[in-house]
Amino acid sequence: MAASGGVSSSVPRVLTLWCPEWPAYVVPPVQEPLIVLDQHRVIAACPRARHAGVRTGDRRRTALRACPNATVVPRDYSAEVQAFERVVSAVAEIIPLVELLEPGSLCLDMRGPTRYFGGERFVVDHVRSVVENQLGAEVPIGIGIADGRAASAIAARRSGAVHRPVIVEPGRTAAAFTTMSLRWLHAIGEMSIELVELLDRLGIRAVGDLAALNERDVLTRFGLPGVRAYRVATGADEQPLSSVAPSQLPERERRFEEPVLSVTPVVFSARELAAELVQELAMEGLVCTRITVAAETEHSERTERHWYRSEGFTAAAMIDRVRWQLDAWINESSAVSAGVIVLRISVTAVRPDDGVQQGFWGGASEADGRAARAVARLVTLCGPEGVRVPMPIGGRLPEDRYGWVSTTVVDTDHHVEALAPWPGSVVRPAPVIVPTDEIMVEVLNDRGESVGVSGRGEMTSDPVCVVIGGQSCRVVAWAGPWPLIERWWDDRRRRRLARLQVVLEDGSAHLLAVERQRWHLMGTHS
Amino acid sequence: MYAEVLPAGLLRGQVVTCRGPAAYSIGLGLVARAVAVGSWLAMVDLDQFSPEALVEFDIPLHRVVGVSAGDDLANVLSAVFDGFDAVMIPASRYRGALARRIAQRIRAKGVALVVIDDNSEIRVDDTASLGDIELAGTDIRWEGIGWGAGRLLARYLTVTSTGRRSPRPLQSEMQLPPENDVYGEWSHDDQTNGVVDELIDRSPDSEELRWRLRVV
Repeated sequence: MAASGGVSSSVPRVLTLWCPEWPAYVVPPVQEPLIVLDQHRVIAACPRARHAGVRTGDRRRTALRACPNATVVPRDYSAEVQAFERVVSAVAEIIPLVELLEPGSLCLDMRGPTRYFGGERFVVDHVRSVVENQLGAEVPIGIGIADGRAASAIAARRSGAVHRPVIVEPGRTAAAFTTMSLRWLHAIGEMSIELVELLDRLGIRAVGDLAALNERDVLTRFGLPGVRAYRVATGADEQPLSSVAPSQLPERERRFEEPVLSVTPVVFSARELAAELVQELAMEGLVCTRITVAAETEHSERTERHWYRSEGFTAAAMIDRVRWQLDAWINESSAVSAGVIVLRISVTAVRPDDGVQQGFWGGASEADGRAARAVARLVTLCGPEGVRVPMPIGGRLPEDRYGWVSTTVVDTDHHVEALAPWPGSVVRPAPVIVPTDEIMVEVLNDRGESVGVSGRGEMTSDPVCVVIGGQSCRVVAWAGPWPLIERWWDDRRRRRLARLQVVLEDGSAHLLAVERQRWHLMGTHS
Repeated sequence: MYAEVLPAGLLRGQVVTCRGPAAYSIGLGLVARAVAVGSWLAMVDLDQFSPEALVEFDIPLHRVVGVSAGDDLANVLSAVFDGFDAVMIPASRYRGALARRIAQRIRAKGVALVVIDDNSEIRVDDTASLGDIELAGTDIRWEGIGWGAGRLLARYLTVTSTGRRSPRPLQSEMQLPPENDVYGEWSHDDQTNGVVDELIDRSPDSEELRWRLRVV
């Protein structure tokens, strides 16, 4: 077979399975089109919503404008992992050593299977039929095979888009992905969005553009993160699947005196194990990219899964994996009949820390350390979405300028706090409360008629009274309107509105906006 | 700025309730100094809060964490108290039995809890009796805005503090959000401010200082 022999490099062949709309398929069926949000952005949607024009990365409002009758649900990690567990066990039955990337995505080393099944195509056929057996044919899946994880992850994503498996011949990675956008490298976690944008501004937009550069130049200009991306782009994946003898890698085990019957305490003790592991590796300048999480009950029922994360595992990311895995295992009724007595996390692959991964908060003082521990604990209590940090984003409207981002996504102590000037925004002071949902208000003149803003950007009459949430309040001062037209070239994200500041008789001040003849509350100065 | 209404500063183990249409700003002004010098701030269930306001109060974003507590508020709060010096929470979440239950923990952990009550309707004695000090903003005056002219520029208000242990209400006129360098002028003339860094975490020997988390 071409796969096992031909290539001179030691880059292994890897198969990646990726379910593009996985978060949407684990939701109990509903009548309406379905949209799944994560951190206020669309991450998945059902085919009907997609057909209506909902796109990944849209904000809630943009998505609902495209598809007004859709049901919007938040992401549910445990349900995703639990549902995916079926797929993982089914695949693991025909090919052992399955590595989980995230819910809805797994990868496996092709060396053994190719030989066993007699060719990569046959492996793909087997995997596909096994997965379709479990999920049914209507759930879209992407299967990609290429040199190394990164390339195969890209292949799987392309496969999801073209609806057939994508196999990139050995040594042809660079050629196969030449025209693909560099954003794909960000999507699979090999490149930070800042680097993508920087390269974009320099005119390097496709994978091929990056691959055409000289490696040494990339290193001097963009440092190690640049080289990592470069090596993915050129098809020289930086690491084989297992490079260090497993015996030299750290592992931590926790035995429980009393069998533990629920997930939370187990996850809680995983916190300590994870922190120790991450710290031990950090002392040697390493991060781990692959861990094995194993748990065992009193009755010797076992769960063991391998997890891979190309950015490297932080303590929080490890804890997430432990919780996902245990949730899926314990909720599968037949699997567990007794309490958990052992939890083990083993590091199975490491790489030098190239500075991409920052320490969790990287705290210096004792207060920072305490807060970091509390944050890790809170993540186990409230879930990754429940614990968020403020981040500058940028925009002209209060809702766009700053946002809250999950700590598990950021986990860095590098924050840019200054925002670019953004001409057209309403200047300081900014509203303190910015409603997450659209709150309709009425703005009335002295005759009780609705006030509007003319096409020339003038008020049709003076606003005298504002009705917010059914409560009517007299206006004592007002200023505006300030019209704003944003992204007129983009059909879906364009906005045309006028803003108005009002001070009401109780001293409260609000920022209102009229958009398509309707007023809504944009922010409140509290 | 707050020295007139809170002569002892914001103390650890204290619950301060902020009321009125400017409740958020009063609360932010209260914790701003402490966060600026190294304390961490948790904002519990304040989902609609816009981080931009933090910047205007010179609060470093990297020491602020937002927490959505969900149903298990008591447990979440006890985890929050373990790691954060200052905690902000809306009055709707801090009331009744829960407040009584965690009052002891607040004192034990030395947390400064700021309760935001910007909805003047739910003026129940329930929350009032649980806070040690109440700060109410009245006589709010906006500068820079007229009738169809100008824009919001600065807000002046009178903050009144009433407390269980203070004999009579204290009042102070202040500007919120503060002018950009309002804290600059405080940094050298006030002796206690020089040691704020230490008293928050780095001087375990001076027990008394550790308990004070003065803001102004």
